Amino acid sequence: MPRPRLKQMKRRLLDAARTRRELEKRIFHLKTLYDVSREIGSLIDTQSIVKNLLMMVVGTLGVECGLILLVDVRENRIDAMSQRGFDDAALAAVSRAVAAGFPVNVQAPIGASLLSGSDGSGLFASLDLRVWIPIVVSERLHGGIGLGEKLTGDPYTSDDCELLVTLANQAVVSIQNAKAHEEVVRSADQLSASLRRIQILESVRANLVKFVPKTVQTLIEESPEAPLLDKREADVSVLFADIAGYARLSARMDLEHVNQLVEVYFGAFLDEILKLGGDVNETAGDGLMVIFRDPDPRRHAMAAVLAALGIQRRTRETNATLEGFFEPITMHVGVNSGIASVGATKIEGAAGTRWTYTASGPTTNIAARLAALGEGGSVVISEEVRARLGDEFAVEEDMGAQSLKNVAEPVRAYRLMAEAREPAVAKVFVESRRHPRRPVSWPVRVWIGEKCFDGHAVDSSIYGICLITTARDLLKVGMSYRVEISVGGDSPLPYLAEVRNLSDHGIGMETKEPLPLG
Amino acid sequence: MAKGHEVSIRPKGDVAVIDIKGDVTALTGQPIEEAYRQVTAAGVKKILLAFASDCYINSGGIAVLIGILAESKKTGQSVRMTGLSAHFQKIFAMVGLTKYAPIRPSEDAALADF
Repeated sequence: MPRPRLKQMKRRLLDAARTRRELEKRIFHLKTLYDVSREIGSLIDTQSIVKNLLMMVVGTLGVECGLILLVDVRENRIDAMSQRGFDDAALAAVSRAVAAGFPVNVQAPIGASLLSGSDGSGLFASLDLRVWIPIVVSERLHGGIGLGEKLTGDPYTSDDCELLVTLANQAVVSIQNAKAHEEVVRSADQLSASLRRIQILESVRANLVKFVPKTVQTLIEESPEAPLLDKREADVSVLFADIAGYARLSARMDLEHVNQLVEVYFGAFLDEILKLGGDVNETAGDGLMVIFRDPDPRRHAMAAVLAALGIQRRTRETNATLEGFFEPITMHVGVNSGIASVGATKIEGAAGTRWTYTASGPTTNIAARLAALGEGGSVVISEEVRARLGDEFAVEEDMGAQSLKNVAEPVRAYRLMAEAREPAVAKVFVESRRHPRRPVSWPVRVWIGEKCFDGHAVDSSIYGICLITTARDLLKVGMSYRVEISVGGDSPLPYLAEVRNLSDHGIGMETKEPLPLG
Repeated sequence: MAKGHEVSIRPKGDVAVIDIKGDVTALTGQPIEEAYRQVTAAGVKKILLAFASDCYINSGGIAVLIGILAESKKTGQSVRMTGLSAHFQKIFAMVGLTKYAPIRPSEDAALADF
């Protein structure tokens, strides 16, 4: 074979071998791109993405030393980093450079940068980096892929840089997804913690409600940041009730039985008090102090007297129920109306400060003294109360002017008939509602926690309904519930409604928002 | 899908043969690193990485091997490799691995080369 032809064939063979090597390299790079998209795309934390990407990069290009760095450039803080082949001194240099503003101060175009010591911090030189591929994940998160010398000693080619940029772009998408996932997880954790705090607060509130007067609850709900608890003069009716002969009872029974007895009776009294809007202010062993407020002075006086009569009625009923188990008890009950200083009283002691919400002054004092005047089973009212009631209640006895302890002037007192007129007066009381009621027929749904119960409103005022529902036994007087009311076939509207009373005729619920006229 | 990965150590005179089967990736490279640490701790200076014929090695796996070779260079250990397909022999040469750990056609040839 002629010599020139032989040379030509040899050159062609060498070209073919070079082309084959290049092809194999390209296939290897393509395989790396495939592996990166498969392995990194499924990762959801930034550090794992960065670590796996670096492994792929150094393996593909045959590099001993390399790092991938992500920096929070607002705080000059390393967000994520993975490195191979560097010693502690090199890593300390990275930390110093980041604190000084790296990589924002890298003077390089977006994309591959073959290095010539242009990072402004000397980091590239100290790490002996040969290539730096900038990464911009977001406005806040910048970084890059930095690689040292190849094992082969060959320089980085534009093909190498093109591959690195493609890998970096894939990583950016994965990191953005991971950051979004981290944000979702963080938000979910915060939400979960907030819900837990709300649950704790609700639990605390539910327990505190048992101890906090209704008036105070309302004041705090109206103005949670700065409730208006300071004392103000207000027209109120005050009811005092105590067990006659409590000291003798306590001496004859053990403490546990006395407490049981008080709980049974006072539990029954509470139903009467709450349904008439009374606010139990104090309980002290055998006694109760209840405050009634209403813009209409006649109305709160009437409510207080009805509650007093209710207490006597419930005493008789409970005595009958417990006959044979306990000796019957009798209650002293007194009611007075007038101006009192109503609000919070601060009691400061060495061990701390306690606040009480009460009504103080002569009106309260007289009510307490009137209760003491009563014989068991009766209700004693002041002249002021009687004047407000008009002729609605039958007076059993005009007790005349009574000199009461710590009260300057004698007070004229009356003993009420405890049984005869109560139902009639109660009717009058109901009829004197501020908002007139009218019959309706509205489907209502009541939510008790997560459970929903169907019901029917049979009458309505602008701020209340009378509800018939199967959930009657689950509802509690004084508690608020979420209700949905459908008026005239319209979509149900949500309301928060408080149970004001439970009776055989229905459940009285009061809404804060006005109801439709229907 | 990664194939079953298995790494074992077998002494052959003063050489520790590390047998590697299955896929070698960044995720499955840890047992190889662990085997290398074990033989290094035992003071072995001659190591043969013996790959099974069906081994698949990706760039992450190559990174693991680069890490081992970089460490062996520092500790003065000699490393040889065998069992690699022609394709991976080319890849290893391309990324410069063969510069630090020559590839031999058979285990006997590799052992004779130390």
